[in-house]
Amino acid sequence: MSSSPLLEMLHITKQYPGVLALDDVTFDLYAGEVHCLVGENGAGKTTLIKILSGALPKDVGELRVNGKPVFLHSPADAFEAGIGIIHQDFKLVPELTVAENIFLGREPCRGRSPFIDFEKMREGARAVLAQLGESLDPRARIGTLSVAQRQVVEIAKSLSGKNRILAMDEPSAALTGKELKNLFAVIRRMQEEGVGIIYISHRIDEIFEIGTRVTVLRDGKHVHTCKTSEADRRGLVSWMVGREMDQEYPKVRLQRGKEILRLENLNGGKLRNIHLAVYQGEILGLAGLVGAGRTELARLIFGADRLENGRILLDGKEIHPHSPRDAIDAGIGLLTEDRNRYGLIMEMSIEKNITLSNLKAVSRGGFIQGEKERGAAQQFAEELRIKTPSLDREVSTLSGGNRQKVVLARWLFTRSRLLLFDEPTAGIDVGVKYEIYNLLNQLALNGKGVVIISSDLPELLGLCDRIVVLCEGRITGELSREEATEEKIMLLATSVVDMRGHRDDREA
Amino acid sequence: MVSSVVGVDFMTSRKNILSRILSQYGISLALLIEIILFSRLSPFFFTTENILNVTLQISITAIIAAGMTFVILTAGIDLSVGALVALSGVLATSVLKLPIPLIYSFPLFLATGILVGVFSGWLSAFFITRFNVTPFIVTLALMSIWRGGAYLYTGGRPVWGLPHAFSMLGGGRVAGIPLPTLIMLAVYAAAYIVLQYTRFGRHVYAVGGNQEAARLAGINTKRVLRQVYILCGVLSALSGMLLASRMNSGQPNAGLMYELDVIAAVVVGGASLFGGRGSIVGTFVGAMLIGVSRNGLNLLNVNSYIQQIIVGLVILVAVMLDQMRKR
Amino acid sequence: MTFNQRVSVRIPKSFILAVIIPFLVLTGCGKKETRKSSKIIGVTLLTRAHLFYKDLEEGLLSAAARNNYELIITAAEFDLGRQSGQIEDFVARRVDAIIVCPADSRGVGPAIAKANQAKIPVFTADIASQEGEVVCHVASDNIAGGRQAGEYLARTLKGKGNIAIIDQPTLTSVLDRVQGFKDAVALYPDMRIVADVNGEGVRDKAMQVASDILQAHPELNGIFGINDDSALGALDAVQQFKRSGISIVGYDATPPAVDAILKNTALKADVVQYPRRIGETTIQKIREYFSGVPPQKVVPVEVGIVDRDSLSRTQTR
Repeated sequence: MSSSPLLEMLHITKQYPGVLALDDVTFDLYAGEVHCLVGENGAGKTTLIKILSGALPKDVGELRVNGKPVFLHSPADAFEAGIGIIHQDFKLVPELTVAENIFLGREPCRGRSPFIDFEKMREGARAVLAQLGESLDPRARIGTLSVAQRQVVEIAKSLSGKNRILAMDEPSAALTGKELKNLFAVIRRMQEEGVGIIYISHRIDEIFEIGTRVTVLRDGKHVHTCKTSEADRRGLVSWMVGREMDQEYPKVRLQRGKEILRLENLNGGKLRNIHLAVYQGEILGLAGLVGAGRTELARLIFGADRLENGRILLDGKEIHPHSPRDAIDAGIGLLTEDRNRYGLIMEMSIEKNITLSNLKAVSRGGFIQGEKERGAAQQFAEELRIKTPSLDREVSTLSGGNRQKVVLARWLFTRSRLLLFDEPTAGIDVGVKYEIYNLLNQLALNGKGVVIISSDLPELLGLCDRIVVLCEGRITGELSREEATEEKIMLLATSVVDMRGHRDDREA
Repeated sequence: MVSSVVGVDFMTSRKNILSRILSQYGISLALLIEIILFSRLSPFFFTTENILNVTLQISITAIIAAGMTFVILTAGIDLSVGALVALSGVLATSVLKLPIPLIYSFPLFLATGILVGVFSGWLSAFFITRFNVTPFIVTLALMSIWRGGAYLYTGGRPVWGLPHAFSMLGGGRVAGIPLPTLIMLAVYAAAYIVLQYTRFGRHVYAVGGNQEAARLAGINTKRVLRQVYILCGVLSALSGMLLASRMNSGQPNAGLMYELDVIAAVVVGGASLFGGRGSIVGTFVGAMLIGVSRNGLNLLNVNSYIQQIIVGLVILVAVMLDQMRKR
Repeated sequence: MTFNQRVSVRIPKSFILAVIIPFLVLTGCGKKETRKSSKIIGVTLLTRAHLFYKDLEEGLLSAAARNNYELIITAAEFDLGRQSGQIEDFVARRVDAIIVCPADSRGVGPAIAKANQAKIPVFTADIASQEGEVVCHVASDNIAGGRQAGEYLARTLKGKGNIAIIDQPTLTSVLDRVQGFKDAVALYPDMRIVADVNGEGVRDKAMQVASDILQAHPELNGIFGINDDSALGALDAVQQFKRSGISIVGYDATPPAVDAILKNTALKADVVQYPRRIGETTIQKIREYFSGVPPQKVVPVEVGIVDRDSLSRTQTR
């Protein structure tokens, strides 16, 4: 750390129409350190990484690698300068093999011929993977790998050159317990090799576990940089949101009311013999590993997948949701995981996304009444504090947290009695998370049924009155707020796996 | 922190005026330039009669393009429209050959044509939604089947010798304006209202933007697709019937390659072939742009080989302008 | 990525059967009509969509029946690739002779060369091939036809006026017609060809370009349509814009055109080809070839011109 920095980004400024995305930000990175980058969505982390990756030009500022100024006009330039980027959504081709992906775009050829030297490519891939402590078959197709394995390939891909700088944008978002440990092991190994790593995450625990230093950005400005050993959780959060947070998980305890939803012996997809009840006044959590069937269960209740048999009772009456429409009409809402893929219509305006599921309420005889629609959208946008210059803007112009608020607004507007939230805070910054937690409490208070699926265990423990754990499509246990701990949940979440011996979640 | 205005787009004020005009009006501007150009080059171009002539010429493909806009908005495509023009034309006109007065056979004619359109659209949607075949392949197959069907049904000969009064539908004028022009304007007005102000229109955009998200938002996506393809089929059939009336005969070789003109009009009009983006007004301007190009070049007696090249260039330039608008 | 998306496509069995059975039945029907033919002749027409080719086909069929030849008739539908494939199929089937109405005069060359290699005699009808070894080409005299049209228009307009051509300049036969027409008109100094536009040989496109021409030339006197769809399209335009004083001459004398001529419309006359005779002559030349008499390289089939007078004479007769 005493030597000169590997990377320096000096006084970087970037202006978007209407927004100053980065305002005189300076950031540096030394060999062998993990420099964490934190901040709320819209704080400028992604913009900074994009500039580093050559995908976006900076307006003002200077970049130096090993003390020498570099000019990045394209991702190829960045690669040339020894900078590797791992994006949130992997850029791998599922139809190609591990080796082909790692060498995509710079395949080794036989001499000067146009023919790929597959042997050399496989050897190269094997070497890089070994460096990461992984023994993946270079000939395996990406499509057959688990999310965690794909991530390793992604890392290998960005390291296979002479890259000494690696930026990882939310690498942990899709990972659970063991996989995360594995990732950290890989990161530590790279650290030993002298690679400098920029690590972006919303999970504060991870920063303390893996980070050497941490830099906080807020509203495009540099707020604070310090060693992680010198920071604490409370301090970090207050730097990020710009104010003191009294508690991370606000919790309102309520009296459990009458039963809203009852599932009797539900079967469908990978789910087997599901019995479950949801009550008024409580927040129910669904825990489990990725691929345990939590999302499938929500989709089954919502009519998005086909139910084989079993009964779904809403307020004591049996319902038969054959499609999401049926479920919505019955009073059920599902906030899907991956809002960009399954939640939002990117090309449509914020307003139109909010009213999409309940257009009937703002139209007469098939015709949408403009003022009514605007009124409804305005009401929920204000209620949820969606930050935007205008509701007519395309939803794609919003940051992750605000996008999630748009989907939330949609489901609030349908006035559903039962709301299912699948990873409602994934990839969302602390401030908005807090708002969402308050909203969930508010919904429970108003007598709605609230079910949360989350891979973030502290979140579940902090919010839920009751946690039901799934494993391999079956319910393996139920824990009350008082008895639940991370260890107990993980034990239940892996119980079937242990009985049957080790299994990957490859089908996920 | 309320959702209200945070900041105006102050960047835009810095852009120079030319690029602002481009960004606002794109192809409308191209159309305007073209009209001014042709007006200066030919004394016969900017006359009432020729303007009516142009609208009459484009009415046939423009009516189909209105339907195609819906299809393309859902990220689909319908290649069968040209063949459908022929099939609906020959099937519907053959009804007029029945030995009954035109007062009775004319409604039957309309019903037959529209039924053909409904059936074709329904069939496309059936294969697309039920078997997950891409619209391109389904409608490519139907294009071949309907064209073959039209030839087979007529034995390759036109259906002719129709009652003279029948030609009023395509050849008649109301207040000096050709009937097909009026029908086209009505179709566009209706399509505009449907897309902008109805739930169905909103659903079309949503399905095209993200089909799975639309389904999970409670939209019956299969029904929307069905309705969209049927609409396109019916409008193609309507065009087929108007064209048949203008020629006072059912031609099995009518509408050859119309699908390309129609798709060009929609895309030049700013719609994305990936769905979710596009407007009915844009399509109208797109259809006008192509129609005016053809008309103007014919008025100037430009060699037909060169015409093809120029029309291709016009399409390229228009799409380029539209891309600059999106920047 | 956490749920398995099941795409359940359930295809009803009845549907599969409904699709398959017609195929079985059709192929079953197609099995060998056992009738002794002395020769098998492969035919690839330009299209079966035009009346002209229907008549040509009938001529082929009737002459073939008389000679006890079996014909395998296919059509390119203006698609050169398809036509080349059809010729290759004939070669593979080892037919005794091939009749081609080329979709493209030059592009069909390689396919014909393959037939040449296999020593299968090739005959062309209506449209000539520029390449490959062709035994004999039978066609209407298109230049003479165009000339007749030009002369008729000159007579009707008394040797002066503005004339437009509804063209389809992608076909050799049409280029010949237009050449003949222009040659004839050139003899009259007061006649001017003011427009030559592509109607693509189909009625709807011809109607559209003719409409444009009427706008550009308020003082138009005559139109030559290179086939009847072109002439009838021009007639549609003239009628819709209620233009008078225009005489149209068409080509082919198909029934709708004859009808229009008899009804005293702007369509005044038609060059008449005898496609049936082209078909018959082609078969006749093949017979000559088989019997050892080498036919001449080019066999022109005469054309004529019909107008209201001549038509009403033949009708009453």
